[in-house]
Amino acid sequence: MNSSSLILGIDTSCDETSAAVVADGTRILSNIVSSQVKLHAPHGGVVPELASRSHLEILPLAVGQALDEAQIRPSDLTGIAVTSSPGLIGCLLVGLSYAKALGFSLKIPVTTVHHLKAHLFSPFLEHPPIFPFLGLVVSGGHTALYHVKSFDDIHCLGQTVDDAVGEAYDKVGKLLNVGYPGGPIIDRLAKEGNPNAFSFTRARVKKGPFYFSFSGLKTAVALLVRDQGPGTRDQGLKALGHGSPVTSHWSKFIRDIAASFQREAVGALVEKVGQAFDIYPVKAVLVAGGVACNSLLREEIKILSLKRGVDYFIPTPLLCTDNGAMIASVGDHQLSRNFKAPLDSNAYPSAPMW
Amino acid sequence: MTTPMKPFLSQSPEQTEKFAAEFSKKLKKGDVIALCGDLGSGKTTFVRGLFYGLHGDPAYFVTSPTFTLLHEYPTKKSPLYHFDLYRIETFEEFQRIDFEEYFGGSGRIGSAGTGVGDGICVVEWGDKIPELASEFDYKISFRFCDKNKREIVIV
Repeated sequence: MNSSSLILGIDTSCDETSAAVVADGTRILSNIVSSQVKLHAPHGGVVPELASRSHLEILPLAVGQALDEAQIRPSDLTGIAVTSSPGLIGCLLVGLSYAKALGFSLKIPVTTVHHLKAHLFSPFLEHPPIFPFLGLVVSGGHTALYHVKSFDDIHCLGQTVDDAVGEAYDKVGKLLNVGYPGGPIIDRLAKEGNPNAFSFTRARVKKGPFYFSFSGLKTAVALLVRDQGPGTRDQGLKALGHGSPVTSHWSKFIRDIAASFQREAVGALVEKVGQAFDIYPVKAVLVAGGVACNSLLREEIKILSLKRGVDYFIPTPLLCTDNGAMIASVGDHQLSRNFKAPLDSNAYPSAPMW
Repeated sequence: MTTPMKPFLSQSPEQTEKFAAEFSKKLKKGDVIALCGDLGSGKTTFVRGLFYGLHGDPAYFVTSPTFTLLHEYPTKKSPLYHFDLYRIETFEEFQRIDFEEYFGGSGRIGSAGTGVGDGICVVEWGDKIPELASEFDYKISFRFCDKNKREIVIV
């Protein structure tokens, strides 16, 4: 193995248990993500109790598999990177305790990584870094726009003042009763619906020009479902083709709502990115987080960046969602600067980016 | 629990916040409040009003804890703990995430906990878990009337 660094990255901040081995900060030797979506589906959302218990059971297996796939022994590792904020405290502590114990026994340094910083820099696992850039992090728990001048110079321009965009997707999925997770399902249905069937008022947030709001959009969909779609909740799964012909009124209603909602949700994100271009001269735009898998968002960001003559970087889907490789990558940077976590370091449900 | 008050008819999110800020004046450390009502009926908006009423630290702002389950906001009076049980289905699940520790008070399920009753707890979807009913000092229900109108009842 001709690598100067071999970092094990661990992420247990929410519903994914992930372990990865990354060489020299960018070369992914393995990236194990044990999606727990199946475990959660009956509840219509992520169930934390299941999540933290699963992390405890799955993490040692995921780490073993990550080392096997990378074809290295534990003693080959030069450091460990682990998410310590933000997230569910019980889940974070599983990963952090494991990392500290493993680091102590192998006598290698451990570094604690901010989950959102790892998302923000995740496109650089696949592309050479470029600064300055605008970074949009969009997921079930986060919606924020950053102006990034360097690895350490990160300025949050704005974030959601109520619901995260991925949360809005999941809740609309639940309102339409089309299954969990709502994001990919709504994205798929939207392609078969009319995006102009319903129009929504774009939220204007007083807090600042780059703040987002998705709560009103969710409420508008809830009202539409209540007033115009009686029966939709029962019909939702049927209208997806599970047992009934796809000709019913509900089938069209659900697809039209999905398309119109998607158009507005993505439109609101892209509008802010466009406005940020006018104020912050940057060389690229990056999108990361689970919602970066959304087909319309990817397309719209591509169009916007071409128009503005800047590069755009959106990770492949495995690197968009929570994963250990992005943690290892940021951890590698930190360890090269001697940013090590002491044995008594803690996890925090929410903390500013470091 | 006292007898239900006259329902308050809110015509805007700002009115809901104002109403909540007024209500926050009677709250004290250890109080646990359940918020009940459909998606979009104003629960998170109400918590934002409590935060303003309690003089919350302006470095924070109130967002939905659906994904994260718990947000903590420092205020002049005491910490405000903002829970969301949207994704919790059973009492067993609730117990295993250690939230009862925050509720505090003697004779309650959380009396063995650590951070016992040092703050005000407000719980969105509090009515989802029937076993928690006895924990709540107030139950506030929200009803969707139309696009801007919400009926709010404090029990």
